[in-house]
Order: sequence, then structure tokens, then C-alpha cells
Amino acid sequence: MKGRRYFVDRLMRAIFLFAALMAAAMIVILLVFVTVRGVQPFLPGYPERQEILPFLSGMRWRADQGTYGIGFIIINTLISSILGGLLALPLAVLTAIVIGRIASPKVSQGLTTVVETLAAIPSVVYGVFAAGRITSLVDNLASLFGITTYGGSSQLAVIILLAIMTYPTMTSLSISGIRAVPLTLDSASLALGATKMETYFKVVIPGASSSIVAGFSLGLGRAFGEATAVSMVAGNALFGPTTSLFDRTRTLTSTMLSGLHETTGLDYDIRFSVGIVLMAIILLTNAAIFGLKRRFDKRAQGV
Amino acid sequence: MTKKRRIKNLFRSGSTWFASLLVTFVLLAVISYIFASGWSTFDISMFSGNYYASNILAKADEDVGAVSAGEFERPAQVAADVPFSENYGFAIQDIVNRENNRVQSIVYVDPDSPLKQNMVIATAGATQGNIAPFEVEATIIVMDAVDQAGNKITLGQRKGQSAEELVAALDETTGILGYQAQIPGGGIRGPIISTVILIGMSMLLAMPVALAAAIYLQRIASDNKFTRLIRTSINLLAGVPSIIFGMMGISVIFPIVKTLGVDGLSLLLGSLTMAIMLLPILIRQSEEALASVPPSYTMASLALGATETQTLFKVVLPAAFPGILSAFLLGISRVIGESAALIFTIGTAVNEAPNLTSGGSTLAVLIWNLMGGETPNFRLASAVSLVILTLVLILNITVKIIVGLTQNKKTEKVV
Repeated sequence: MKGRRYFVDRLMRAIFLFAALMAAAMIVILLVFVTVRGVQPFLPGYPERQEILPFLSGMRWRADQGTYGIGFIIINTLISSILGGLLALPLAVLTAIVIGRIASPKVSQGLTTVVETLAAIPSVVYGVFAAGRITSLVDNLASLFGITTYGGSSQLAVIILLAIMTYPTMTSLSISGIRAVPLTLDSASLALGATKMETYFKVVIPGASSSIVAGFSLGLGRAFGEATAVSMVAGNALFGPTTSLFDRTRTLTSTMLSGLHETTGLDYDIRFSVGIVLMAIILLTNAAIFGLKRRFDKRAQGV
Repeated sequence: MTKKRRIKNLFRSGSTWFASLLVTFVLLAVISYIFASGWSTFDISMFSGNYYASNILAKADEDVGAVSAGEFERPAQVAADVPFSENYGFAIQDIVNRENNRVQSIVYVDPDSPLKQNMVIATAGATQGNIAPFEVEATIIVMDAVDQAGNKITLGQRKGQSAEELVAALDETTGILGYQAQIPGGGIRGPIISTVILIGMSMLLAMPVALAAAIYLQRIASDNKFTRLIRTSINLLAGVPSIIFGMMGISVIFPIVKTLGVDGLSLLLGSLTMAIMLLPILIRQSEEALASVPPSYTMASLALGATETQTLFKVVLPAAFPGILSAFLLGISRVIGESAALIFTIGTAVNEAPNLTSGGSTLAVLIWNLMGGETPNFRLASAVSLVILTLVLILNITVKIIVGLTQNKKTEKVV
């Protein structure tokens, strides 16, 4: 009797361990298989073999002519995502400080709901909003400078859209960072004669900086990978890099989605290659952000 | 305090409130925009309608001859200003449809109308010779009738007539030889079915695995390198963009599904992809739910002689149920809103009657599809956006309510 019961326990444990292992293995499977598929077009023996260097540095993407260069696309993606992220970051930190420190419990709960709702809205819905509202805003702004846009589909529209979409991620991490700063630090700062605002800005926010940086890099990851909404307002420029905010742009993700018809051949496989570049960019920027943060911290400690 | 310091403080305080108001404004702008622009196109018949418009070419049954006029009375439900044909017993109105075209739409058909019984489908195909459906919502394009002199005349919108003129002319005729009508498209029944299938299948696949993994991580695993490796891997998976999951679906799951005999893009492929994509969020939420169960419950159960498994299924999981339900609902809301991964795995074509082994656009993918291409259909896209935004908001509010209720309960118990 006892033996059977313990056998069931051990069996269940094994099942739970197996499930956890399966979930953990997915990332490895994903990376391996997408990479294997994505390098195909550059391997000898591929019917329309591509060269890696022209692919990475090319400034022209003409799928109709068989020219696949993503150099300008990488630059455009970096510009629009980083600018969008930088636009969202101050807003995220400022609302986080309101929620975490300044506001009364009721107000801060209301604001938290706002942030959570922004996070819950599906990206296609943001896309429809961007295509209907943000583009006309950008178009009007451009006409002030006497510039005509492609119906508002532009780098600027992508930046604003990405700022809205990355904001919730950055905010929720900033909030937990700010909440983790012990209130005794506040008290110490106030006792030394600092005002409340000075305390929030010079003690609490720096104290939460590692969470804020983590939020920023997570938000940037979301910006790089955001696909459907961006593809609705990017305008898919054919060459670049895009130098004007009001000009059309093209991101890695909008390229992966554009003109998706067949499920075989170079035009399809090359999207996997773009996918590898996308993942590499996300990993590299994450590493760069944390590297910068570490150097910054060391210098701060040195002083 | 110096003046400079005071101004700086004022500026700091102002900026925090400005930021808070700005994001609240953005949220309201998004929601009100979607509701305002979607509402004008939205109507309840969208849910049951076909996506593609279909044409009906009908002619009088040859055995019976031209459908002859009868005598019908205007029923009470048809307003006095709606043109009503007393000869043939139907009411028709000029409207602007979802595709933004001016059409003449049937608003009422008498059950005894001769057009309902004696007209057959004339288009070649399997349905040729069947009784043609003459129903509300269909739009009349053109009608061939017999006038009092016995000559064939052509009436209707194609002849430049308004609904009123059409009815007036019809009531002067003695019979109808045939007509051409259209059953309007722009309905989302197919995408709704796809979405439901996708939700059901992906949650069915993901939830047990996620729950089991969460149980392992929360209750069994000790804090060591191996566990941290598992956690890191799952966190990494959470950071992968959804479009990459679409590519994973194509490169990993596609061949597996193919060996099961399902070739091409299918909802099964989409569900499996979604299930993997949902794992990190479901695991995290389930872990939180399990962590909220007080350890004293487990100890009490074990002390009473229950085994680990009994404790888990009879004490811990029931206690964690609200949290697990929240995880479930959040997962559903993710599936409803997901588009990028599905574009690759289920395809963008709308399927009127999708099933697990066929492809078929979901609501979110339909929006993307409508917004892309040469002529974006913004009206229908915003109506569908209205539908999925409402669903997602309801799900998220429900989760908030569940969380709120369970938290209240816990504080009560402590008191």
C-alpha cells in the first residue's frame, strides 16, 4: 500500500520535471531550427545562393528583382526602436514614481490599471489606431514644414507607435524597481533636508536604476520584434537608410511580413535569415545596455 | 529654500503628473478611437455573416412559368416610409453597406411571397435548380419582369432606379422572370470560428504543460544551478518576438504536423505554435498562483497522512484555482490578440468554415489582412478591432476582479 502511494508521488514528480524540461528546451529548439533554416540561402548548393556580406550591408531590398540587402533595414530598425524607446523611457519612469511613491493608493491603483490596459491591447489594434490616427497626425505635422508624406506612413509614425507599445513594459519594471527601494532611504534623504521631489529624483530613481535599465532593454526587445502594427505604418521603403522622420521606412519585422505569398523558395527562406539578424540585434543591444550600465555603475562607485 | 530649488521642484512634480496624464490620455485616445470608428460599421449580423459576398442568379421555375403577382398587405413591422411591394410581398431599402457601397437591401419578406418559392438558382453548379434563397439582407441588383402588355422589362438598381422606383414599377407588373441578387459579405463568422478553435486547442495543449512545469518549479525544484538554468531558458523564451515563433512553427512544427497527415498551413499548426508561445506567461502566472497558497495548507495535509500527490490535487490546486483561472483567461486574451506568429502558421486567407486541419484567418489576422494590400478596408478593420478590443478588455477586467476578490478573502481570513 505504502509502496504504491510513494510510486505515484515519484511518477508525478517525474511528469512535472519532464514538463519543465520541455518548456525549457523550447528556446534551444527555436534558436537551432530557425538558425538552420535561415542560413540555408547562404550555403553552397542553394539554387539562388546569396552572399552574406552583400546581404548584411546592402542598401536596397527589391524582392521583385531578387536584390536582398538589409543594411539599411538594420539601421532603420535601430533608429526607430531606440528613438521610440527613449521617448517612452522618461514617461515610464515618471509614471512609475507617481504610482510607487507620490499618488494616493486609489490614484496609483487607477494609474496601474491604465498601464496594465495599455499592455493588454493587442498589437493589431494599435496598428489600426496608428494607421488611422497617428499617420494623420504625422501628415498634418509634415505639412506644417511643407513636406508631403506617403499618407503619414513614416519613420515618425513608427517611432510614436513603438513608444506607446514599449511604455507598459518599461513602466511595470520601473514600478517594481521603485517599490523595492526601501522607504528608510527616503526617510534618510528627507532627514538630511532634501525635499520630497529631490528625494524621488536623486535617491529613489537612481536606487531603482537596475530595474529601469532592465525595463528599457525589455521594452527595446519588444520594439525590435513588434511586427504587425509596425508593418501597417512603416510604408516599406525599398532603399535607404531613411534620413527624414517623415519619409517611409522599413523594419526587419515589416520586411519579414511584406508580400508573404508562397511558402517555399528564396523569397520565403530569406525571411528566416532576417529573423536571425533580428534575434542577434535583440541579444546584442541587451548585452550593450547592460555593459554600459555596468561601466556607468563602476564609474559612479569610483567617484 | 532658494528660488531655483523651488522652481526645480515644481518642474519635477509637474513632469510626473504630466507624464501620468499623457499616458492616460493615450489610452483613452486609443480606446475611444477604436470604438468611434468601429461602431459605425459594426452591426450584430456581422457575427453570423459570410466574409465573401456571394451572387445569386435566379430564374422562374420553368414548370411554373413567370412568378405571378399576388396581393400582400404591409405588415406592422415595416415602417410606412419603407418601399413595400404589394404584388410580391417584400420590402426593400436603399442603404450603404459595410463595404461602403450603395445597395438596395431587402428588409422584409412575406413568408408566402412567390419569390421565396418559385424561383430556382440559375448559376451552373451543384446548387443549380435548387430553390433560390430570397431573404432579408440580400441586395437586389436587377430584376426581369413582365409588364401588363406581356413584354419583358428590366428593373432595379442597375437600371438606375431607387428602391422606391423599383417597387412602384414592380407593382405595375404581372410576373417576374428572374433576378440577380447578392448576399452581402464582410461577415466574420469564419474568423470567429477559427479564433475559437485556436483558443481551445492551444490552451488545451499549453495549460497542462505550463501547470506541471509551474508545479515543478514552485513546489519540487530546489534552488540550484539546474533550476536556474530552466528558469533562465523559460524567461528567454518570453523575450522572443512573436514573429520568430511563427518561423519556429514553420521550421519545427510544420514537418511534425505533416507526418500526422496535415499538410500546409493549418489551425493545428497555429495552435501548437501558440501553445509554445503561451508557455512562459502561463508558467509565470501559475507559479504566482501556487505561491499564494499558504505553506501551512501543505503541512496540515501532509501531517494528516495525505501523500504529496493527494495534497497537490486535493488541497493546493483547489486553493490556487483563482490564480490558475486568471492565467487561463490571460492566455485566452493573448491568443485573441496574436497576429504575427499566426500569419506564418495559419495563413491570411479567410476560411468560411474552418476546422483544425485547414487554415483560416483569425480575427486579429483578418485585421492585419484588411489593413495591408493595395486597398485597405479600414471600415471593416476598425469594426473587427472593436470586437477583439472589447473581448480583451472584458477578459482583463475579469482577471482583475478575480484577483481582487481572492485578495479580499485572504485579508478577511487573517483578520
